[in-house]
Amino acid sequence: MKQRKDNKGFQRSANPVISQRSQKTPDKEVRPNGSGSKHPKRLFASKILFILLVAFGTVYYTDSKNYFEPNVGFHEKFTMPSFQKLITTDSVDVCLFGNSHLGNGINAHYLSNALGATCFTFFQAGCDLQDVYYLMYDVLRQTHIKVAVVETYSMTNAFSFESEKKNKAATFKFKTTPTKIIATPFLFDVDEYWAAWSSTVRNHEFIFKDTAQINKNIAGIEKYPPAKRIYLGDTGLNERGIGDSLMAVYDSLGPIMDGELVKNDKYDVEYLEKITKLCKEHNVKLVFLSIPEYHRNLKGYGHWRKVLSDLITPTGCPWIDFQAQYDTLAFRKEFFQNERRVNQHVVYAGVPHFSARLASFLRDSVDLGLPNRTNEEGWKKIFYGTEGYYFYNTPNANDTTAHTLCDSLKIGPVVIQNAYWCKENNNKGFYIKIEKNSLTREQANKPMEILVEGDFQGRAIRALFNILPTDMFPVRNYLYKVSVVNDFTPKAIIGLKPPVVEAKVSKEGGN
Amino acid sequence: MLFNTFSFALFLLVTYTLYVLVFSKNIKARNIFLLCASYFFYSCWNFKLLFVIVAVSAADYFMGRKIEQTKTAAATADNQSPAEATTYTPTKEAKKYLWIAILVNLGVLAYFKYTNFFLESIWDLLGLFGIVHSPYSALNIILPIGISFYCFQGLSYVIDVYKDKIKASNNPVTFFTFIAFFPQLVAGPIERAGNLLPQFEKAFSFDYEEARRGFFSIGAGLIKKMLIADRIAVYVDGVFGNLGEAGGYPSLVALVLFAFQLYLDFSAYSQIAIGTARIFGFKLSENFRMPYLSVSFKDFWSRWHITLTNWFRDYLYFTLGGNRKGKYRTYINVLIVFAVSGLWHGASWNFFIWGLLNGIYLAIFDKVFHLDPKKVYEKIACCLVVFFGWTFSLAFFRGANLHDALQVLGNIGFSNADTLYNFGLNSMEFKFAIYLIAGLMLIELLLKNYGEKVSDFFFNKFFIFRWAVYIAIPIALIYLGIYGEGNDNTFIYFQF
Repeated sequence: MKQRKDNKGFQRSANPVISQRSQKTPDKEVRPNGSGSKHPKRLFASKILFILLVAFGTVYYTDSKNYFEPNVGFHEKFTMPSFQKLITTDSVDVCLFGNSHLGNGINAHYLSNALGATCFTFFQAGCDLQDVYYLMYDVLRQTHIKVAVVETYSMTNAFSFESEKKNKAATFKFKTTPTKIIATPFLFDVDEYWAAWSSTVRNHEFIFKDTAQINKNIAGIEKYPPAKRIYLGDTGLNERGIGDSLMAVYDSLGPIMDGELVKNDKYDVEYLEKITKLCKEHNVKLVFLSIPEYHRNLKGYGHWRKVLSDLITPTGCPWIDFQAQYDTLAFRKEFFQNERRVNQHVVYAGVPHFSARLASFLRDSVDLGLPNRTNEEGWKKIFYGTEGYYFYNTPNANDTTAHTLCDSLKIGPVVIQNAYWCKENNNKGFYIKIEKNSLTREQANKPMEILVEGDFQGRAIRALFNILPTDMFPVRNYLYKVSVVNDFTPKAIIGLKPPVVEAKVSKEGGN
Repeated sequence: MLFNTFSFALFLLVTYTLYVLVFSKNIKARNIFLLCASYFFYSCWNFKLLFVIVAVSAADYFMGRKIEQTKTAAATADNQSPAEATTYTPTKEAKKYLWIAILVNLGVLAYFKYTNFFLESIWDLLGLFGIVHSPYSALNIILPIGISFYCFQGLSYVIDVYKDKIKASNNPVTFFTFIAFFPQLVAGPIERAGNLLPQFEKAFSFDYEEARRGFFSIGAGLIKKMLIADRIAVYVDGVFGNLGEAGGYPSLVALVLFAFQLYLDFSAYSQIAIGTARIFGFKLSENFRMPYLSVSFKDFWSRWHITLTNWFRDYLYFTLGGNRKGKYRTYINVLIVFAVSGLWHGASWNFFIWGLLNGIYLAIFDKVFHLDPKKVYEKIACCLVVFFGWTFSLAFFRGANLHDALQVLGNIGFSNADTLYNFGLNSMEFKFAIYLIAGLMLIELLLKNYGEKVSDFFFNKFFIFRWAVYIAIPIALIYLGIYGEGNDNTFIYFQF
C-alpha cells in the first residue's frame, strides 16, 4: 500500500481508515454563506448583535458629541454651570426663581450692584411653582443662600400643572438613575424611552430641517464661557418697548390679559407649603415678587391679586407687587414689549428700574440681614464695571473708564457720595451720587444747581449746570446725570446749591 | 403597538428569543405562547376590545366544529368514513351554522364599523325630506383595530369548512392563534385556513436562511414605511389639510404622492408581517407584486392587496355567479364586488365611490382601451393609464369626505408651483423622498425582470455590499426615519 506523509510528517494511508465516530456522524449540511455552522442560532444572534452594536454605537457617538442638540439658548445651557462655578469661590446672597417674566424683568448684575450683594437669577420660560421648588431644592443642596425671591408668575400660571404627568415628572427630578429610568416618559414627555435618552433620536429630523444647527454643533461654537464676565442667569430678551411704531400700525394694544380668569389649584398650595418649609429648613428668607404687565394690557388685576394674596399671606413672607403699585413702573409703556399680545414682558429699558426697585425693597423695606459686599475684593472682581455698577458704587481711583472727581464731599447739608465722569459709550456722561439721607424726597425731585470746574478745548472754565436726578430708583443714593458737551472735561465740583423746598403752610396759617 | 416603534422592536426581540430558545420544541407550548404573545400585542392597543376578537374566534371555531360534525353525521348515515366520502353536499344544518357564523362576523363588523355610517346616511336621507333638521350626532363606538381583517379571515375559514375545502380545526388553541397571529392580525395579509392553519401544527426548527431573509424583509419594510411613506405623508397631510390654500400643482403632486404613500405604507406593513412570520417559521401569502408596473386594471388587481382581492373573488364574485351568467351580469358582479370592497375599506360614501370607480375601470376600461399591450412603449403607456386612473380614484380614498375629494380634483392643475414646499416638506426633504421613490421603483423593475437571481446574488455572493446594507438599515431608520413626537406614524390600513 502506498504510504504518504502529511505536513506534520505522520504517515497517512492512501485509503485512510474512517473512524467509527465519523461513520456515525452524517456530513454537515452545507448551507450557503457559511450558515452551516455548528451553532446557527448563536451565529445568527452574534450577527444581529453586531449590527445593533454598530447602529447604537453610531448613535452613542453622535449623542456624546452633541451633534443633535437643539439650540436651547445660552441661558438654559450655562445657568447652572455658571452658578456652580460661582459658588466654588464666592457666596451667593440672593437667588431669584421664576419664569420668563423674571428673566426679562430683573437683571442680576443691576440688582447686585444696587444691593451691594451677590444675586443670581434662575428662570425658565413657562415654569411653575413645582419647577421652582425643585430648582430651589437643587440650589440649596449645593450652597447656602440668604434670600430666595420667588416671582409670582410661577404661581397661578395658566399653563401650569395641566397634567398629572408633569407632577409625576417633578417628583422624580434630581433622584437616582433607576428612578429617572422609571420616570423617563414623565420627565421627557415622550412615550419612547430611547427618544428620551438620546438627543440623536429625539432630534434626528435636524438632518433635513436644521442642518445649520448640526453644523454649528459639529463646529463646536458657543463653548462656555463665551465672555469674561460671570453669567448670573440674567438676560434681556426684548430690546424695544411699546413705541409709536406699534400704535401707528395698530388701533389698539392688542389682546388684554384677563386677571379674572386666574385661579390657583391644589398644586400651588402644596408646593408653596413645600417651598416655605424648605426655606425654613435652610434658614433662607423668602420674598415674593410680582413683575407687572403694561397696565393697559391687563384687566381684573384685583381678582388676580386676591388669588395671590390668599396664597402668600399665610406664609407671612414679604411681597413686592409692582403691578399693584400704581405709581410709575407699570404705566411706562416703553418698559414693555412692542408686541400686540397678552402676557407682556418687561424689556431691557425697564430692567434697571425694576431691579433697582427690588433692591430698594430688599435693602430698606424688610430686614433680611443682607451683607454689604461693595468693599469686598471678591465681590468687586465679579461686579466691577458691570451693568449698574457705576450707578451705585464708587469707581476705583485708577479706573480709566470712570474718572472720579470727588469722594464723600460735603457741601453744606448735601453729601456727595461720589462723582465721576464716564467716557464709555453705554454710560457716557457725568454722574453725581448724593447720599439718600442728605436730601429730602421733595428736594430730590427738584432741580439743583452745580458749579463745575473743567477743561474746555484746552481752556480751564467754570460751568454752572442745572441738574435733575435720573429716573433710576434711589437705593443708597440719588443719582444725577449731567449732560455735557463732548469737548468739556469735568475736573472738580466746586459748588452745589440744594433746591429750596417751601414749607407747607396750613390754611389756618399755622406751621 | 405599531411595527415601526421601539416597543414593537422590544416585543419582537423578547418574543422571538423566548420562542426560539424555550417554546420551539413543543408544538402545543409554542402555540400557547404565540397566542399569549398575540393577545398581549393586541391588548397593548385596547385591552377591553380583546374580547371582540376572542368572541369572534370562539364563534367561528364552534361553528366550524358544528359543520364538521354534520359532515361526519352525513358520512355515517351513508356508511362511509368522512375521509372516504367522495362527494359532499352540505346539509341544512350545516347551512344554518354557516349563516350563524356569517351573521356573527358580519354583525360584529356592521356594529363596530358601519353603525354610524348607516344611521348617518338614514339621517341625511330624512333630512332631505325635511323630516329631521339637526345634524347627526355620532354614537361613541370605538372601531376595534384590524376587525375587517380578522372577521374576514374567520369567515373564510367557516366557508371553507362548509364547502369541505378544509377540515375544521379540533384544537381551539391552534385556531385562536390562527385568527390572532400577531404579525398579520391588524392589517393582513388575510390568510386562508388552508394555508396558515396547518403551519401551526408543524414543529419549528430554526432555519438560518429563513431567519436572515425574514429579518431583512422586516428591515426593508421599515425603510419603505419610515423613510418614504411617512415622509410623503407629511406632505400629503399638509395639502389635504389645507385644500383651500393648496393650488393646482401642490394638489396634483399630493395626489400622485398619495398613490405612492398608500402603496409603500401598506406593502411595507405586509412585508414586515411576512418577514416577522417568516422568522417564526410561518409562510404568509404575498399581498403585493409590484402593482404600479401593471399594464391593465385586471393585472393591477392581481398585484394589489392580493389576499383581499382573492377573498372577494372566491367568496363574493363566484357566489354572485362570476362570469358564468353573461356579459352584462359579469359587469354588474364586478361593480358589486368593488363597491362592497370600497365599503370594506371604510364606512363612508367616499370609499363606496372609490370602489365603484375601480369596478368601472376593471369592467369597462380594460375592454374599451384594449389594455393588452405587447410592445415596450405600449406597456409604458398602459402602465401610465393604469397608474393615473388609480391615482384619480384615490382622491375619494384620501379625501375626508366627498367635498374634499371633489375639491382636490377641482384644484388639480399647474398653478402655484412656487408653493410646493409650503406643505410640511422643505426642498431637501422633498427631493430626498422623490429620489427614494425612484430608487425603489428601479429596484422593483429589477426584481420584476430578474427576481430570484437578484435576491440570491444579494444573499449569497455580494458579501461587502450585503453587510453594508445590513448596517445601513438600522442607521438609516434612526437618522432618516420619520418618527417621534408630532408625527402620525400609524399604518393607513390600520383604520380598516
